[in-house]
Amino acid sequence: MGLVMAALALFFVLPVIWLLLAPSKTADQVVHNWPLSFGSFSQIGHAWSHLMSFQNHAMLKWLRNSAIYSGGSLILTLITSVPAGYALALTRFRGRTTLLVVTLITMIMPSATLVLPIFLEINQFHLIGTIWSVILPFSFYPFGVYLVYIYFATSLPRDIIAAARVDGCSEWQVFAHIALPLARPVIALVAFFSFVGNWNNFFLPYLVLPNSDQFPVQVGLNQLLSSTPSFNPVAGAGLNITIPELALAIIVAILPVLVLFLFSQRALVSGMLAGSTKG
Amino acid sequence: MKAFRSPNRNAGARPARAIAVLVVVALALAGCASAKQSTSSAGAGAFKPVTQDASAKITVWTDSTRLPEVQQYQKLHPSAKLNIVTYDGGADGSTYLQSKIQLFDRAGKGWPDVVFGSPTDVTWASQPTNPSAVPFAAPLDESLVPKATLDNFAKGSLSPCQYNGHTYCMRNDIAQVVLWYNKTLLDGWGYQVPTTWPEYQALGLKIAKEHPGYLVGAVGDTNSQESYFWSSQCPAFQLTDPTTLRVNLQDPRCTRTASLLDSLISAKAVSTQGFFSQGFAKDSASKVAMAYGPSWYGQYLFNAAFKTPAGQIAAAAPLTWPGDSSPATGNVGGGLWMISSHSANLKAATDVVTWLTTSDANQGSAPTYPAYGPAAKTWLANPVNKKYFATDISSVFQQAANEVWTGWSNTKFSDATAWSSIVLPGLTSGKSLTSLLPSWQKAISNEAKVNGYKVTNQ
Repeated sequence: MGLVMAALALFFVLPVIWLLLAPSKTADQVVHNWPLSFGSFSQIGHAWSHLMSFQNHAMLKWLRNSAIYSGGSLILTLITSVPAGYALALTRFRGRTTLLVVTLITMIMPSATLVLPIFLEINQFHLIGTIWSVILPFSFYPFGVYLVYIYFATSLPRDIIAAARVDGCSEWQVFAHIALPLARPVIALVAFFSFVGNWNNFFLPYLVLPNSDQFPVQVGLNQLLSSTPSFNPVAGAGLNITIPELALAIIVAILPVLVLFLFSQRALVSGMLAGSTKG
Repeated sequence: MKAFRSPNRNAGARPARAIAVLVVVALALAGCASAKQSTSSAGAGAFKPVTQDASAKITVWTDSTRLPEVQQYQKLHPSAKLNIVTYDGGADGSTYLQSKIQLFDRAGKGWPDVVFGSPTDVTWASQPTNPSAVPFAAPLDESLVPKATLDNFAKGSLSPCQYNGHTYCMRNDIAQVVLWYNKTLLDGWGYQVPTTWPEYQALGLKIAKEHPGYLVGAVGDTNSQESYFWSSQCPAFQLTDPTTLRVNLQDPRCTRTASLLDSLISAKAVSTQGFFSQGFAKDSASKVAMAYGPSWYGQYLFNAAFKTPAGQIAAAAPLTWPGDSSPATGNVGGGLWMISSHSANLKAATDVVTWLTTSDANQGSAPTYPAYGPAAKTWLANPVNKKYFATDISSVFQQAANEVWTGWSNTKFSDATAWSSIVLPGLTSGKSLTSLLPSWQKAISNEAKVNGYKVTNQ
């Protein structure tokens, strides 16, 4: 068992270590030196300045765009999915089961399957190339609705709701003052999954955004890769972007998600455990 | 010219191409556009510039090879306002530019003013991407670039730019195919440089026998078919009229090349790997005695990738087939610059493109052989471009530039895809080129039909 664990750890951890070490070396050292050797800190500085000089700080623009797209859609996701999940969990209405089934089906569909109809829709509304062509589709998050639904259906004591109503709370007050504060862990969980999913989404922004200045970081990385000799061998050596710079770009691209995870770890764990036992 | 045919089918290229195909499908399905500038039909007659603003900033899309040239323009023209964007330059049959222009057409704004592209790109850029859009490329011969300038380009080099009687681009460089050889090796072995294909074959077999491991060519790059089959005048991509493509790979001019290469491949004198494939430079660079390929092989392949020391590599005139009435050679690439018909500053855009393609300041030391005649002379006179080689390449380059066969047409689709998806995997699995010709022909024909061509296999 220990051997299997060690083999798996080796398999998964080695590439990550390689990635972290690559920016400290020159392109030549990456190819010729021991793969897990460390180069120098000054080389990281060189890689950073090369990366920043690509298209006049394009990397920073892409990071900013990613933050805007992911952040904007996160707000819309929370505004829509939390009340929807709450309503599905606590009210009975005609078509509720159908709605839940539809939510479940769209949840298990790979996001790429919807890209084509979404593109046609966006085109119909003349939103191609605008910020909304990314934010609106990103905001559609049935998984979030389902998570909130599960949470409220299993972890929210009905007695508290009943007590609040007896005390004269309106439905809105029950939701805003009782349910929402109790749902903090699941809101954090939905927010995290939505943010990470949108931060990493490549296909939709690639399809609807024509201009490099509008790209989120994942699409920007693709542009960076395809215009460098490392991934497009016939591309010329006009750019200072080689393997160390690309590795650094990848690290920079995942850093915000990593930081977000570290800071919201506690809320996430309690959110994930919610519903596992009935209180 | 090296910018747009990646010889290496790296793993990442396939998903990228799948995405690109889906993008094009999506755009095609999307129907009407929202472009505001409208025209009733294709062609320059309908070209009406948008309101011009002499102070407007222009956006230049370039590949990374040409990036230093654009930056140099900016340096020499500090008052020019440029926004420089790097993209793949249409490498490897990429449809990135086309799909993004279609998106700009839909958004009705945002088009780059100047783009570097491939000849394939002109086939769609000179026509509207949908009925209500304006063709992306501006007709340069309509009061943008003087006729005298256009007339100075090498014979036939602007033909990929021409459509419906107008010129939509300026060619950056031409990539005439020549015979490259390692003079130090051949002299050391006491061999003569071949001048005909049978001599090349005989020498290849001799080298395989007497110096096992040494190579006289490679067919595993995505552009190898242009070096060999184009040079042989094989009718693989021959437009008999603008909508009819002749694809006949059973023609003797195709089968003779296939069987010649088959004999050299089985003798291990020609590699089924690509010169640019991963690991080739590291493992086999010192074993390349000859290579049949474009003029840019000298600097990019031997000097930059293989790091062959200076003074060893030389070029010889294109090989001939006994019985052929006129000498012919192939062409591997040859980039071009287009100006957007939507540009609000056509004057600045034209100035950039004219400087990039015709100025001695740029082309005289360009990495590839200039298509503009006077600049080509300057290029050949520049010792920097020749000092790497063992012999003077001037006469060979000039001769080959005039021998490029015009029967390999510029189509709406890349000639690299069928070769890469059908022939290269077949060769890797041990099949002969001759046996792969029917399936290659079928793949080209299918792709042509998808792109709206009538196909004839006769």
